[in-house]
Amino acid sequence: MQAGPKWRCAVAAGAAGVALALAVAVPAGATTLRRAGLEALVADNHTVVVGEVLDAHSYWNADNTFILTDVRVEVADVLKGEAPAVMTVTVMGGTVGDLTTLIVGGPELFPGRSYVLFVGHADLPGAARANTVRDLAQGVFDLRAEGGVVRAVSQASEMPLVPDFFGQAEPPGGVRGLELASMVRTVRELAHVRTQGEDLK
Amino acid sequence: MSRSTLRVASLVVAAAAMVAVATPAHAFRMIQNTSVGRFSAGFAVTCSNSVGFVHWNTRSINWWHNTANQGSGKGTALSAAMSAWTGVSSANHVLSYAGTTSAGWSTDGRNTILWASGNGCTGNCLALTALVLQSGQVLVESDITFNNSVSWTTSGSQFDTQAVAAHELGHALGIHHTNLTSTPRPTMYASYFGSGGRSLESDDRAALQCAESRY
Repeated sequence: MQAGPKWRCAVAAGAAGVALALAVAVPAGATTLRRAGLEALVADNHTVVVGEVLDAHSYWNADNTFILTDVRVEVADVLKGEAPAVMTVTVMGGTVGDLTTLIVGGPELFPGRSYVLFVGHADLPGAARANTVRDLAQGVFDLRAEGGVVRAVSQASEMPLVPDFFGQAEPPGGVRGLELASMVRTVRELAHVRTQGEDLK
Repeated sequence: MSRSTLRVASLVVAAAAMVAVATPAHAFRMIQNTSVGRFSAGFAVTCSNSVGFVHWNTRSINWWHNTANQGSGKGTALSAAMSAWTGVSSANHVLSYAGTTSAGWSTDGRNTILWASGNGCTGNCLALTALVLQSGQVLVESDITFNNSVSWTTSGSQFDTQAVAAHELGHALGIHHTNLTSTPRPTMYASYFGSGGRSLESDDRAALQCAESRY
């Protein structure tokens, strides 16, 4: 089942509500990532959604070698691919008991907050081809209200990016982000173009 | 315009120019974990932050090198990157190249540097650092994985193993990206800038000295 666009307003309102809380936190970004534009993010991920994080559950993987976290996301809008009403994304890191694994440059996903998420397959420790945010901080856009407009700000806007092949080093929208409505349109268009291109092959 | 008005105006212009060119001597940030009980990638804080930041309780930190998939000559580059941090004066952290290992990207009590195409570092991810923390802020292990689908060099050309290793080792010491943008750029500058990242600058050294003095 795909979540419908009727949820968009609720997401926008929720984003406005948490805007102040978001403004005080500067997410850590580190690691070394090459800049990915929207086109690359859409191309490299099978699903793009707008949604709110419901909860997160951390656990040791089957081999007891790495802490993983399952993040449940209530999907408000599907921009590419297919997604259930509540989808689970697995990410590296989390806290179990007294031990925390922190992935520097990983995605920050807080229950109660809304994001644009680019979800793809990647091999995680003990979880082959997991549904995950494979582009790490670049694959998550925080939703922030600004002057009555909801903006989507890449979590990579505060971190180092190696310039892409076009010499650009700033994530899409930079520190100010993109208007959510505009980003949604662009992602849909890019996803549509890709689908058409694949049909022609 | 009167002579006194001109004088005031010129003083204002001069003062503004001084402010414009002035940059803080140090602008490093440390990594703070506020995530006990939830999922987080950490936050950037100043050295004096009341909650503190991630840090080692030991000064002797051994690093193991998994040589699979790495290409040639990487051990020397890693040792040099470690030496840069060990050489910081007024800080007694000693980073040592402990030898080779078959250990992987796992929480096993062994600080490991490895090359792989998985480990959650794929596509546009070039290198990834994981910090294992106890009691919230105490580092007990760190692992660094390099994406082996990328071309890694030891010659200084892109991508320079030693420069990226020095940057990632800085994170493994609890150091976040600096806010300093002036040149020469610190190793913890928020972007890859080639082999210049091999050598630490004053801002990098001050970050480690901060950790040394606080913990």
